Amino acid sequence: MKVGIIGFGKMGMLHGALLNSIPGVELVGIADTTKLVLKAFKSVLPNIKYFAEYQDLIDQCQLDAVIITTPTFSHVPIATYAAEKNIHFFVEKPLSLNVEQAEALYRIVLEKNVKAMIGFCARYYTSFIKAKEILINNQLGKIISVKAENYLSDVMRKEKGWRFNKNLSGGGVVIDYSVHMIDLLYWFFGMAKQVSAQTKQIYSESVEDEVNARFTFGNGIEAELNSSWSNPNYRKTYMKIEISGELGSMSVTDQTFSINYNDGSFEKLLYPDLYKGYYIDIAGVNYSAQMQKFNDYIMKDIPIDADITSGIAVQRMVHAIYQSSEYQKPIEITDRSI
Amino acid sequence: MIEIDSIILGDNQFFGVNHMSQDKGRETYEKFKNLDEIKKTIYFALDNGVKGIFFSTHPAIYQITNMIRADKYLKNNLSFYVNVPYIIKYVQMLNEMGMVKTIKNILTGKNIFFNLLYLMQTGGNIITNNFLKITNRLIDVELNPFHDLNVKAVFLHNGLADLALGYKMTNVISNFYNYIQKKYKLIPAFGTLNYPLFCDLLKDAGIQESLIMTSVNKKGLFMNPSREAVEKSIKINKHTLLAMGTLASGILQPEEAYEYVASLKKVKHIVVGLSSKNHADETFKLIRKYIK
Repeated sequence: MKVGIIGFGKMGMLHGALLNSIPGVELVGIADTTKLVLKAFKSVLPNIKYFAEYQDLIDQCQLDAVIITTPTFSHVPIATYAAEKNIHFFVEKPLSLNVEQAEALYRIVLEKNVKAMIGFCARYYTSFIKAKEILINNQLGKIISVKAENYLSDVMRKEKGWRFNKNLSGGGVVIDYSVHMIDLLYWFFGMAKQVSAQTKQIYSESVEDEVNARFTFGNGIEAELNSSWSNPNYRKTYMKIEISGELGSMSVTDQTFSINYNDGSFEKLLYPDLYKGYYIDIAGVNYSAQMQKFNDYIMKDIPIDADITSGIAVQRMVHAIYQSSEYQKPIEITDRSI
Repeated sequence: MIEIDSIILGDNQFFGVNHMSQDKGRETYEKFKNLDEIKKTIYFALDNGVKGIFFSTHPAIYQITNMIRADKYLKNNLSFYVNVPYIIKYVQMLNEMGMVKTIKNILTGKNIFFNLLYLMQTGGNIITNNFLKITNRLIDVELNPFHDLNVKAVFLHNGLADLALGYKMTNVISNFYNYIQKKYKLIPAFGTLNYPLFCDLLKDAGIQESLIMTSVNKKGLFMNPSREAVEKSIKINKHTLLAMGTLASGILQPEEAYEYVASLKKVKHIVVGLSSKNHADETFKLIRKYIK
């Protein structure tokens, strides 16, 4: 598989290194708008082609797939350009600035029959994979309550940059960070029917730093989400989801898994129990698993579930949160069954 | 085999790093915010014959090394194993200001982390597009807090070493190796979570024998692609190993953990954390019992 990276920041750099470690993958070219980055890497990776314009990378390199790790506002324009040239793509989360943009891309993806994967990396933590299995097997019985938390101390003062400009980022913590937990909720319970949410600004001026949202899913399951990127207690990302059902309850974080059944049986797994070796671990094996899945999707046609329909569904849930917060009322999310 | 201390005190507890629990990490971080607590722990290790100490270049490192320099006994008796660069610091910079500004800050020392004295020595403002020069500049800046201390080895942080591994950047690896050896006359070393692949990269870089810090534990935690593959690679390669994560983030009982490490025969060096004195006596005794 011949791959190009568009946007060579820390995520582009990571995905590139992971893919480059998979046998059969050839990293052909990198596009980034900053010359300093390109020149610095050219000095150590001279066999790769470098481009300032992503169009040149796509037009000149006969790629099978591209990795799109640019700021959010350029995700859809770049993905559209790639899809129109029949090139498969992996695009970092969030898929787009808004739902309309995502739906327009979806039509092109269908028309051109290209494969698209969205960077919902939380799905590849072993703990959450285990939780998903529990739900699929209905081991908790009817779900009674769901509580999700997602914290980080990332924004601890007024900051500059595209992430804090709503026109370029689509929003703040909800679209950029909590989107991982929203995706997990979608993955676990399907599309939400209704959401009621409040967002709050702490340090940022034009985007929100904190959110409280209550989702109602199709099967009547209610889930509460609390998330902040301005929580001083979490140096590293923290994701926790507590799910109670008629038969028991489970508490799952990105690092731990525990389940207690009403009959007294239980299972508790800590990070070392959950760790699974991979072809390479650079910044966490969930990222390694993600790139392995992307490779297998493109090369072996093994389906993935973090596909473009997931991207659009999550985008809908994100924007329903924004609407609910703005109009201060619950918002119905209509399933337009894309 | 490269000569280093057999037991080296790790620094994770000082900076609140705990792979198992962020809550526990915070607890120990609170405890060690007090420099006296750090000093006590280091003295305790020394009293138990542990002279090697491993440090990442955390933003708070100057406070610790200044404290050590001011204490003659510590200064004269400790050997330092330094891990560069402190990745989280740069990831934060990347998040805050993007790649270009981060690189420029590293080069010009505009960031608070970088020592002005160093910049005066080197003349400061030299912008370069050469990645290797950027790396060397970074190494200089990161090693500065350890001036006048007995540094034995300098490790390339596993985050960066494994990134270089992903891109098969043999030039980055050999540049680091040569720079540490030639400019600093110290032992160049590498951290990795991917021991077998990393051995291949070293071979491609023309390095037959080096010091490598990697995870070695019965759980297979951070052992890629698998515990079995790492065990096999340890057997066939000549590198001197510094085993980290031997207790698998505290999930293994010390006896069981060190018995396993000893069973690998070639592993003679261990970096170990010390969050409380209670278990320390036992830990050191067990390591000495098993690792000879």
